[in-house]
Amino acid sequence: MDAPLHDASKVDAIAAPFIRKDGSAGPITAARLRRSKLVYAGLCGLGLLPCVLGLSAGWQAAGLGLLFPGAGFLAVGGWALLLLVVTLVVFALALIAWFGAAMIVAPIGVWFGTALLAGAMAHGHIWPAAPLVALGLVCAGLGCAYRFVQRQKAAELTRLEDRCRYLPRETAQVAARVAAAQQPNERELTPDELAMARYVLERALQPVGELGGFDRIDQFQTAALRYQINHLGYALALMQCHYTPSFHGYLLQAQRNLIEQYLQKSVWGYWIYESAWGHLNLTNPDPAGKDNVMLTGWFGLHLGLYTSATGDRRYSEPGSLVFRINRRRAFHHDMHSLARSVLQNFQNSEWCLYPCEPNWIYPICNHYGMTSLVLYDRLFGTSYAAFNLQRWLDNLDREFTDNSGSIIGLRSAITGIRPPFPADEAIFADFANCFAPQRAQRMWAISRHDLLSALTTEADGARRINLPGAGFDYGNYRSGFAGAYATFMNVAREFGDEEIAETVRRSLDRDCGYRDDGGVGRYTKASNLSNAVAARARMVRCGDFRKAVTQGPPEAVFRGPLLTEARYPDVLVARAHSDGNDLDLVLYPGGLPGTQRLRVERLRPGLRYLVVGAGEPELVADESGAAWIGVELRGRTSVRITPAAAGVAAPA
Amino acid sequence: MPCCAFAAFLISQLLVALAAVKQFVFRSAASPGTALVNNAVVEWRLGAQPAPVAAASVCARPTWKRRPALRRGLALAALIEAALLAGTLYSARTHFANAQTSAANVTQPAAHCEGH
Repeated sequence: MDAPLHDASKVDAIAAPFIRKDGSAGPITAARLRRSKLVYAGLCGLGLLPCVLGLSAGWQAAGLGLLFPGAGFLAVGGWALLLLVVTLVVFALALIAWFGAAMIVAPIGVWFGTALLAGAMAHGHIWPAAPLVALGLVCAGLGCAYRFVQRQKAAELTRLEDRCRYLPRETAQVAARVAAAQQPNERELTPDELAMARYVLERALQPVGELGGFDRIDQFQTAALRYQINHLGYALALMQCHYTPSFHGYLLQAQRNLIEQYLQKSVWGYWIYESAWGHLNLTNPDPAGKDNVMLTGWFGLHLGLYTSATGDRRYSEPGSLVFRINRRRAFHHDMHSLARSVLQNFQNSEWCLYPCEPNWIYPICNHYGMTSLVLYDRLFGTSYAAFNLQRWLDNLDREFTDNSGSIIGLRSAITGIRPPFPADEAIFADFANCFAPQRAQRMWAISRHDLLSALTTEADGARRINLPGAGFDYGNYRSGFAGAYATFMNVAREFGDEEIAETVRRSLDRDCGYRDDGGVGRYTKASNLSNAVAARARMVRCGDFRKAVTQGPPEAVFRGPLLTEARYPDVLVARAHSDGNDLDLVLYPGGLPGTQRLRVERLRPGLRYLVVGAGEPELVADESGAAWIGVELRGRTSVRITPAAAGVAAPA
Repeated sequence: MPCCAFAAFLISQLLVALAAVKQFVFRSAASPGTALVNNAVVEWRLGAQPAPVAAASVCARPTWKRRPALRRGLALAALIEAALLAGTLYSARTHFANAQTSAANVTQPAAHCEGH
């Protein structure tokens, strides 16, 4: 693990290995691409063989069908040419199904199925020009692909040159900002931050099985419920870790509800289909088996953050996470088996990084996976991350980094191809900060540099971000910048870039329809996923995510008094900290002002405590170490509970 | 001509199907201006009925109801669809009728052949 950057003289040396000097693909990618080209060349050769040998029309048509989907219909000729158009459209849909839901059988089925169909339809003679036309189309397609790749490479190399100029200086600035912006351990949420926290709590506190306020579109891609649940969980865990580590009550319940929601078949059941049509595995759709880092990595991190922030280890108990298919069949997992799945997949994959959906390797999901292992190692004393990190980073640099030094969006493990998929450095920086902070700072320096070019000043003098285009919200597939703004704000805060974060927040508030309805904040023009990220972005500060993963709350909070019961939404907890003996609370009324009852536990049994800010000036803990207090809530209310005299029990 | 009509009909069906898939998957994110409407989902509140806010949202009404131009376009498209369908049915009918006549000519010798 590398330490934060401070010495500018080292920056050049640090920046150098980050930027790829050569334009070649990594060895595994190169081998896969070579194999794909050979297989395609073989298909073309095989496809042309019937024409060369003068076999029957059926064989010739079927053979031409191997050149590209629907090419066989050229041989049939006449109205069958229309089927070529139909096939290309259906093939495009099959590719979408392959990309979106790992349905590898779809493109293969369409390609070879139409070749067979063309073979069955051809009688007598084929259209004489068909082989030449098919070959011409293949050459044109390959020419276009070559041109696209060359243009892409040229653009990336131009970007690389630009980065070489500014990166050392700007990385040093980021490092200096991080070093200067360390946050105090004990903080409290502002009313604005509490309003967005309530957005998350409202969704998390509903009964398991109900999903009010969630976007429900598909369960395969980015709008899937699982990502919404995970991000709501991350937000609550970060809130717990940094603001209210000494409050359990409804905050704990909300986090557990989200974890239980995740175990619903409607959330994880996509894997039953993906393993069937992606792995051709009809018998064992274990969600924590082969691949599926989008579940094991994301959910592992979710569970780890919860466990770390609360000290509740229930999900490390064997079989505590039951993924049930039906009454007779279920997969019993726990934090250990999820972490082992990530570990084994890292170790078994030639790339080290491994697929989400069968075949598709997304580096971002692998960042979640690596971060989950870093957290798991801290919680359970293992070395899973450390053992794999160097190989993982090496392969990330060699196989998943483009010519400009940016991490690519995804790569096909089978073919080696890299479909165009957007991936800004910012989305990786947050995670890399947990296991490779120098690399993370470089990533943020790049992202920040690009973001600065979109800064404008409005008529009132306020600065804002103007991103090009209409934007895209990955949480509901609509246009809009909520997701991008929330991500930038979150990462800017993580790196102590408050000025950028505030600028982005202003843009988010203005463009995405921020509304506070009865104390619950939300962005009305954003998806639930983007709102969850925005809620988190509003409350985090420099290094919060890194600290939540690598340190967790101060150890004292797990020994000291704990607020365990408070009514939601009547009592909003903006701060709950303990130094091991006392309990320091900041509360707000969520509804009308009035007196609220709070239960405090983990007090020393029989000990007398002084209470400042509540109705009673003191309390005495019962034999179980618990006590109730009444607190008059009118606006911001500070309550402090301290032992009257350490070790002195109250008179009976 | 019947072939062209058939081709146009077939392609238009594919385009309509594609548009439907796009609408289903991406929820009509095609034009930037129209998509930036409130997301009714985020109006949901714990223990409250979501109906009042959802009703106020323009998002609650389908796009075709909100845009008269689109409504007219859809009507025109439906008209063309109907015309293409009619053309296709007519051409198919003509085709099969011709096929039957040809078949009859082959299986039953023409009258001028009968004397030989």
